[in-house]
Amino acid sequence: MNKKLIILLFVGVIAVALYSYGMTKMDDPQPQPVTFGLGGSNGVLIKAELPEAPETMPYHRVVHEDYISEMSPEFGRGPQKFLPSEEEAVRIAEEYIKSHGGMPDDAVFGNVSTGYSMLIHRNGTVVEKTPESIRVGYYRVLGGVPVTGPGDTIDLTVGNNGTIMYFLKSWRHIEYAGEREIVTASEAVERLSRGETVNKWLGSLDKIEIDNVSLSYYSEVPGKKQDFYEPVWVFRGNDSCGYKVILPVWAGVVPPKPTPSDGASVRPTDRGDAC
Amino acid sequence: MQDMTQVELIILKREAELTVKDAIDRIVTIDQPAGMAVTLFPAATEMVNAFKLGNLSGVDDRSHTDHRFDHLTAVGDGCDPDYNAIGNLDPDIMITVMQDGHVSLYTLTTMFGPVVCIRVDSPDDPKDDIGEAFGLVGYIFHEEGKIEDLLDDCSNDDGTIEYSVTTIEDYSESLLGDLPGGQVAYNALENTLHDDAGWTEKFYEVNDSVDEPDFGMSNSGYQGLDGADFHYHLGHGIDISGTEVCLHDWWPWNNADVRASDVADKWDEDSEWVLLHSCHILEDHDDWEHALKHSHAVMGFESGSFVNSDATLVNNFLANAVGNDAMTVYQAYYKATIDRFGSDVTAAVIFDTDGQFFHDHLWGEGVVMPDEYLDDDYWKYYSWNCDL
Repeated sequence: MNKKLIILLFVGVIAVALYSYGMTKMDDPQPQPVTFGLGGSNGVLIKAELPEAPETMPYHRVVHEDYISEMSPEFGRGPQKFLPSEEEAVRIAEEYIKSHGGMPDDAVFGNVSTGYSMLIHRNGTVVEKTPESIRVGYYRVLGGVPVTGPGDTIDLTVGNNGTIMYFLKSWRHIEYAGEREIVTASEAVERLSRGETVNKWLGSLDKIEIDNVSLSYYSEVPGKKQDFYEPVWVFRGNDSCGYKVILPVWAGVVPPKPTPSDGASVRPTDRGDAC
Repeated sequence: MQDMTQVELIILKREAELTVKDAIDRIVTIDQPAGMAVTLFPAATEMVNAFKLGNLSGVDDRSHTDHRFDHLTAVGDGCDPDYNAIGNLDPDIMITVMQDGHVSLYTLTTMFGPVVCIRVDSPDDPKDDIGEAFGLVGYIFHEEGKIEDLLDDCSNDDGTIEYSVTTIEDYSESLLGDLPGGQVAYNALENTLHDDAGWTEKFYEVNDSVDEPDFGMSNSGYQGLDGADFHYHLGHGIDISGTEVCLHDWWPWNNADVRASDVADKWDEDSEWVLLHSCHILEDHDDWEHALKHSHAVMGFESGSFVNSDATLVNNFLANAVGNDAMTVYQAYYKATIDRFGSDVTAAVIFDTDGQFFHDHLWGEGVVMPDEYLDDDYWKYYSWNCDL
């Protein structure tokens, strides 16, 4: 009996060790998993495959932006008991977009989701969940490359009886401006480890696990002046609380100036657990 | 404007009927004792409920969705009353709030009896409106003895419309990185609330001057943010076994923070709305909601990434919430976050009541719902991703 227990324990320890090793290695073609602190974060772990990079990518000059942000006075003014189905909401959204400037050729359906508010008792019990609205979203794919960042979005909120309660459209008209020489994904990781993100990372003590690395273009906040669409390497993953983290790093060999991430600091990684 | 002394003077034959002048200067005679009431607007529902729920037989549709009133009959609202439902209830009195599109009060009076109008949205002196409305409703239901207590608990302030600000950009004495944007945010608050809307600045603390008591941790003495109607805070938030607002010298072991437990049941004086521009805090919404004893709402974030990357959040919120076509507090915050942040930011709000979620405007910009009375230990929580 004791022998069996010892063997079981031994097998267990080996299994845990192998599993832990695999967790950091399985998706990573590089010799070592990449781990570093980032501007106040408690550590970034890249568990994703680093893709091949093209030598160059086009970049684009912004001509102008279609920017609409309209909220119905009825938004959020009462219960939404007569919401359409999500499928119907998508159809209503697409009709609305067509009648308000049309659907851009490079727009791609992103998601539809119903938001629920909660009535919560003092003891933490969720007593009631109430649908507040259905949101339908579209993002942009530019020459086969998805655009990242808060801009280039079409976001509709659908309320009672299919009424459009909120319509946000930010879509920049662009023209080809030339080619940018692109750094490899490994070089982008180095930039990331130096805190050279497009926007300075200000999260505090979060541990970040990156599970996807890809090329993209960066689009600024809706309504904010942006001269060029530049290629970026985007590191996508989650923080230790499970919230989405998106870290874009300029992908051009010569990053655009001024670099918004100037001053990002790298911190040690040996701190306590935190979300 | 209703004046309490004036109300007293115009009461005639109190035993048989009560004659009052309502908020739009109509003389209304009500048979006594005033029995069952029907309300046609959420603020009216809250006020009658604050005195005596037993007086209500029917409420407006929007109040009816609130769990406190869902056992009563829904009667439409002032703009679109359900005449059959009201007729079936045969109320002794109807109480409403005048607004655009309201059906004729003369018609309602002819069909169903006396209608009293209260005001909760005067741009000039909004707090007086609520005080006078409480006075009028208390008089009608012979609950004069409760008026002072309710004014203390439900409109509960010093009559001045105030804001306060705390910003922590300098975290050099802590484990955390510095933040940008405190001055930008303060300037927006000063320009919009102080200069344009005429609010009074209660206090403005920065960096190492920001301390725990500023967050309203006490029910006596210095009240911090609970001494102002609107408070804005910019600084780090973190989640280590519960979320905490990090002070300038925060380390994991030194308690230089404010946690939900520090402010539980403490925001009960002037405070109406608090905007915590910090990562993670509302991830712990089921703890932070306890702060809202009589305060109306906390706005903030669940997520931890680029929440502080855009200090213009408060500019956008104020642009939406103040001025012509001012939005409700919830509308203004929702729009400000969706317009500024990407899919890696999750924003959130906690409101004390449905009515405040649906109707509250900043003071002077539209309807402000009364504070909840009695506190029912329920809160409304809603969070959303800022891009799909």
